[in-house]
Formats: sequence, C-alpha cells, structure tokens
Amino acid sequence: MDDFMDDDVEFGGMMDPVNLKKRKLRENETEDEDQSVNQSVVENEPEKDLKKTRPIGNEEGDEDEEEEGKEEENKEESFDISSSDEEEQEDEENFDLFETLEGPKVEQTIEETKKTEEKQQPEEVTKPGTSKQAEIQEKKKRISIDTSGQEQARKKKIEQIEEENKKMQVLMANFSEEQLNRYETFRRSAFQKSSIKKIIQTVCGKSVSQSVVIAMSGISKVFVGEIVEKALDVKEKWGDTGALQPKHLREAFRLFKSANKLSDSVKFKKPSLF
Amino acid sequence: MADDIEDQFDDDNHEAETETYSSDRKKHYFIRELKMMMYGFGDEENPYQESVELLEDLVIHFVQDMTIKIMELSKQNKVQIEDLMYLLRKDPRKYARAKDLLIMNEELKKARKAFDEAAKY
Repeated sequence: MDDFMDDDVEFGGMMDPVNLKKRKLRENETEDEDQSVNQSVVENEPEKDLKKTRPIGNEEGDEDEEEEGKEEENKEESFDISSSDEEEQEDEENFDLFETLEGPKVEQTIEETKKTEEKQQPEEVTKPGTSKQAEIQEKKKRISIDTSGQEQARKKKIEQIEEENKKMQVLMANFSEEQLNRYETFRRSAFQKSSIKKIIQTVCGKSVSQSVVIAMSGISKVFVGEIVEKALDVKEKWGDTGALQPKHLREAFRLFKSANKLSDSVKFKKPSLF
Repeated sequence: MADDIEDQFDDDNHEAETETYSSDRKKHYFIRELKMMMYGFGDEENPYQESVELLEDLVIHFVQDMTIKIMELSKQNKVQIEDLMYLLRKDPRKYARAKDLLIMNEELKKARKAFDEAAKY
C-alpha cells in the first residue's frame, strides 16, 4: 500500500472531513472554545495524525475518531464505521476531536510507517506519562531519525494536504445553508456494511473479509456519485427541471457504460453490465 | 414512456436477460441511504421513488458484477481485496477511494489496539 501513496494527493481530491464544516458552524458560535481546546491538545504530547489521513478523502465523518485515549465515547462511536446516525451530539463530540487534532498535526505524516506509528502509540497511551514508556519513546525516536529523505517527502505531502485543507476551509466558509446541508449529507451518507456484505456473500457463497466489504461500499458510493452527476448533466442537456427522473439515470448509465469499459474480462464470455 | 425506456435499455443488455432492470425487488436494501446519497450528490431533497429504486438496482448489479469479476480473477473463487484493487486499477477515482478507506481502516485498528492497551493499565 505504501507504494501507492504517491498517487493519493492527485486522485484523493476529496477534501477534508466534516470537521471543516463543523468548524465553520462552530466559528459562528464559540471561537474561544476552539482555541482553548487546541491549546490544551498542543500542550499534551503530540498525537498520531490519524486526522491527516482524513483529508485524503474520508467521507464518512463519523468513523474517524483517532486514538484519542481521552475521548472514550468517541472511540466507541468511531468503531461503527457505517453510521447513518444523525445525532447532533455525536457529531459535536466527533468534531471536537477533529478540532483538537487539527492543531498539532502539522508534523505528522500520513504514511503508515511502523516507526512513527509505534512511536506515536506509546505517546498516546502515556498521557499521564510513565517513565518507562518515555524511555521507549526516546529509543524509538533515535531509531527513526535516520530516514531524513523519507521525512522530506512526508513533509511535502503534509504541506500539500495542509494547503488543500485551507482551501477547503475557505470554500466551506462561503457555503450557503443549503450547500452546507448538502455537503453534510454527502459526507455522512453511506451504505450499510451488512447489506453490502449480504449481497457479496449471496454471489460468492463464502464469507468475505471485512476489508472487501469496506472497499466495496466505498466504491459503490463513488459509483452512485458518478451516475448521479452524469444524470444531472443529462438532465441539464435535455432541459428538464426538477428531480432526477429514471430516464436521466438510464441515459447516464448508458454513457457510463460506454465510457468505462470496466470489463477486462474480454476472454470470459460471461455477460457484464460494466 | 416507461416501455420506451425499457426498450432502449434492452438493446444494451441482451445478455442480461435473466437479470431484470425492473424494480420488482421484494426487499429493498438501500432505499433510505440512497435517498440521502442522491441528495448529497446533487439531486433534489426528495428524489423520485422510481429513480431511487432504479439506482438501487444499479448498485446491486454493480456489486454483484464486481464480485463475480473478483472471483474470476482468483483461482479458488475467493473474494480477496487484492483482486478488487487490481480490477480498479483503470479507474482512478474508485481506486483512490478504496485505498483511502483501507488505509483508514488500518489506522483505526491500530488506534483501537492502542486504546485497548491503554484501557488495561
């Protein structure tokens, strides 16, 4: 997976998570709160930048929640990856988390390198700061100093992501109410993992691993997005107004099919829709 | 009008005779989520019921098709994540999305682990 990381920034596109939106809403409410929270986090030992991975393109706002030891409730919620819950409170807590994580993240890397992760984990665990763990941390820091080249690359990536985040923030600051609503729905909507799993297992006959289900639900959402976007274009081209009609969707699907021959299975005679 | 649309579609899907594009499903899996998704992607707040059902059908077929392709790739008819990534290599959007999600999942697992360890002490 690490090899592919380079493409992330290009394709990723998807900006930052819901925290930005919430940030905007919160800006209107209490700016002081945010600052104080940020400060408190900065004082604590730097935490793993799970947050950094989000900017790359996490649309499920509710699943993130980093390994914040303190926010246990959030942790529990974060385990539930596909949550179509719309509880405000849950979001508030989640976004608190993002808020706090935004600050110190700058030095963190996105890539999964064992060194940094191992280094970070003990750091988080030792909020209270036991001496033994501090020793372990130091040792790992010493070990991880050698990779300066890698770190430069990481820093570049981080900068890029930071920039995208800022752009996103600016963009979201200018969203209208309706746009914010739509964006929130966009981020939070997701397919139920159980349903997807059922469908896959019906075809497959065997049980499938969780990662396949996760990937498949994410890809299905992208698929829906592509079809809907094309359908909206078709609707505009045909001069229709109002909600999308099946004819738009069908036309969009037809265009999608002709454009995206996903079938590399030419040799197989099995019919394919895609 | 519905018939015309069906005909137009039939031409493209001779092979899919056994599969129906009608929304005669007894059980709907995704109606609620799909409605939200359509709104999120740009449709009206309350999309047409027929549109939602059609999309649901499309998604189910998409998932089924992908699964079949994945199984074709592997030797023992197993659905594995690597095969899925291979199939998506040509589609940058989907590929990036799947990769991001998997990385996030890994990170979450590690986070949980750390949390559990912290909880022990």
